[in-house]
Amino acid sequence: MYSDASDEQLIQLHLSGDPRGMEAIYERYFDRIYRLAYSKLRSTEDAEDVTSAIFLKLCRSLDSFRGEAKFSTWIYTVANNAVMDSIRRRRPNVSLDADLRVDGGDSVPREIEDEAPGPEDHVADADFARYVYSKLDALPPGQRSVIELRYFMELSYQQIADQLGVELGTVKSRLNRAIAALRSLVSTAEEVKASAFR
Amino acid sequence: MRSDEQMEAMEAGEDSAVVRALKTGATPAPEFRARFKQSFLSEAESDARRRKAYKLSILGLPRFYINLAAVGAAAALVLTALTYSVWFRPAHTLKTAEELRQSVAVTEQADSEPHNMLLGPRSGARGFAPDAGDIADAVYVECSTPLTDEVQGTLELIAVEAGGAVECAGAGGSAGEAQAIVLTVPSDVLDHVIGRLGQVIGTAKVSQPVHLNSKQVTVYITFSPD
Repeated sequence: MYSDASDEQLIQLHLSGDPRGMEAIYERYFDRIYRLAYSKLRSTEDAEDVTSAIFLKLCRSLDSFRGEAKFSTWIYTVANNAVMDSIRRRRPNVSLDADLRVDGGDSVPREIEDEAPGPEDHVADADFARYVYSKLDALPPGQRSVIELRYFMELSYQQIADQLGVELGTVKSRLNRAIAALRSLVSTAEEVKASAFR
Repeated sequence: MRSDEQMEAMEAGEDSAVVRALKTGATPAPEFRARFKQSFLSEAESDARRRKAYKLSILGLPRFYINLAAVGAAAALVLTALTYSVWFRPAHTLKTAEELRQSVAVTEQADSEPHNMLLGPRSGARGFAPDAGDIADAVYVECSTPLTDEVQGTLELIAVEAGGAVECAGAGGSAGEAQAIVLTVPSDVLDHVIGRLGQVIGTAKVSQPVHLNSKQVTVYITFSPD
């Protein structure tokens, strides 16, 4: 019904007392926020929890949205903060580099199992997607931000440039490098696995 | 700078699998999406109702009047600040004993002077003649001779010659009771009048004229025979 309305118009609709504005915002942004949360948390349950919390607080948080930035930019910042809070809360205090203590007081090096699906699991697209998501952490922060804004938040190149405060050309080159890096990471992992099977 | 077409080609080319994975890889479960939507819409409706109610009324008054009152209060504050010196003048302070004594002395001195005398320089007048009200240029002449009818007649004659007037400032108005004569003459013949007075009545002392730049000069003649 409100597919042509801008985010700001939908917000105004809600602020004027019509809940249909927020319903349209939900339809527009729910998947985007979930993708963003999942890309950082890589857990369906955690991503659902954080996404729920963000949207439940969204109405009340609207008072802090003064319209100085675009709504997409604002909600991206809100969602990022919520995800980072969630990561901080669930992060264990034990260093992953520390040795494990076993009975008798001996210590053995910690072996961390990578729960991310390997190339051999690329039977379905969903698995491949999760595998690609798992490689996002290897990207530099600038490239990762561009990926998030472009493919999760679905912003235009110009909106990304405005959000990051960089030139339009910088956005495109960063995105290109980020995709190339992801492709390279995926290919390398596949080759390693393939050689192991030989 | 890469064009949008190049970017689209990149997204659709050999990198398309990666891009497609990023775009569609993480999708919320439909059950979760539908279930949570009900909770969210309930929250949104409640928030929208609250905002609508707030917009319509605060303490039973429409928002328009609340805003109007706020603007009025702000305007009143600004006006008060601008007119502070008018509305909030400091109260008169009590005079010190010395100031009070000086004030009483000045009042008593003023009361002791003849009230029918024309105002002279001691009246404390300020300003220039056209705006000086009843205050005119004045000359004080003291004579050592008594005021007789003959002298008064001579003074009237001098006044008439100068185009002015004469007035007895004594108690009775006649020469026998008068102690002072006031001549009012045009200022441009003042020197001539002063000279004539010296010839006729033998002036003992003539004060410097107090100039208020008026057209008429008051010559105040006092008679104090030794």
